[in-house]
Amino acid sequence: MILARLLVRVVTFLLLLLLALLGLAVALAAIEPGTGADAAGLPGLRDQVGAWFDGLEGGEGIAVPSLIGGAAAALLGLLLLIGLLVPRRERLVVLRRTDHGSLGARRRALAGVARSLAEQTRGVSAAKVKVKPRRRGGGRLRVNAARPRPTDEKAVERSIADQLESLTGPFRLKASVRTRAGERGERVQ
Amino acid sequence: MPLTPAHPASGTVRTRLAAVALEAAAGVDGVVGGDAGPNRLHVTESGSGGPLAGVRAVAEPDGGYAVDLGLRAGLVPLEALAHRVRLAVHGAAGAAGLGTELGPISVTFHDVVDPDQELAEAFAAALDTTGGAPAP
Repeated sequence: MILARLLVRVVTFLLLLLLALLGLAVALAAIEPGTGADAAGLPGLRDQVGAWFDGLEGGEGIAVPSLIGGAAAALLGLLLLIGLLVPRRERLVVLRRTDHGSLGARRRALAGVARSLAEQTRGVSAAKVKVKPRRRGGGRLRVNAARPRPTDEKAVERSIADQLESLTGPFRLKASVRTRAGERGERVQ
Repeated sequence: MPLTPAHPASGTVRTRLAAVALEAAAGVDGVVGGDAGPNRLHVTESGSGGPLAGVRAVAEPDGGYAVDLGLRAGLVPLEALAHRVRLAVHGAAGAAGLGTELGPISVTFHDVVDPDQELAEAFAAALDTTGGAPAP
C-alpha cells in the first residue's frame, strides 16, 4: 500500500512534467511552425509509433519485449488504481469497547508507552516497539531490545515482559519480546 | 494538532456538548491536549468559535449524542486516564445542563508525549519566540 501511494505520487509528478513539456512544445510550434515539434522530436516519434502499429496490423508475431511491456503497464495501472482508490485506514488499536464507549489508541501512542516501559527495565539500553492491531480489538506488541553482552537473554526478556504487564494485562494485547546483545559502549539503564 | 480553546455559549446542543467535553477532557491531569488525528476525524465545527480539534459529537439513534475524544496524553496509564476523562466529561456536561444529552464517551489516544520530548518542544518554542535566545 505504501509502495502504491508512493508510485501514485511519482507517476503524477512525472505525468505533470510531461504535460508541461508537451505544452511548451505546442506553444513553440504555434509561435514558429515546425521548430517546437522538431525540438520535441514529435515527427520521429510519430514515425516510430506508426511503424509499430503497421507491424501489428500486418499480423507479425507479438514480440516478447512488447508483451512484457504491456504486462508491466497493466500492473503499473493496477497499482496506481489501488494507490488512488483504496482509502487510507486509521490504524487504531481498540483496547476496550463497551456500551458506554470505547478506548483506543493509535499505534504510535501505544508503541511510545511500551518503549518507555521497556526501557525502564534493568539491563536494557534501548528498545524498539512495533504495534500490530487486530481487527477484532487488541493487538500485538513486538519489542526488540538491546542489552549488554554479559546479561542473561532470557532473564532480560522476562523482565521486559513483566514490565509491559501493566500495559498488556488490562487489554487484549500480546507482547513478544526479543533481545539482542548491544554494541560496546551502549548505555544501560 | 493543538487544542482550540473555544467554548461557545450559544450554538447547537451538539457543538455545545462537544466544546464542554473537550474543555473538561483537556483539564484532566495527564491529558496534554486535543488532537484532530491524521485524517481530522476528531474535529467539530462550532461556527463562530472555530473548529474544535480533538472532539466529535454524533447524534445517537435513540437520542442524545455520542462524544468521541481524540487526545494527546502524557506517559501515564491510559485506562485510568480514560476513566478520569469520562468522569470529568460527565461532570462538566451535567454542570452545563447537558447531562441528559450525553451518550457514550469514546476516548482515542492519538499520541503519547514523553516528558523529555515535551521539554525539548517547549525549549524549541521558547527559542522561536525569543529569536534564538532562550528565556531566562
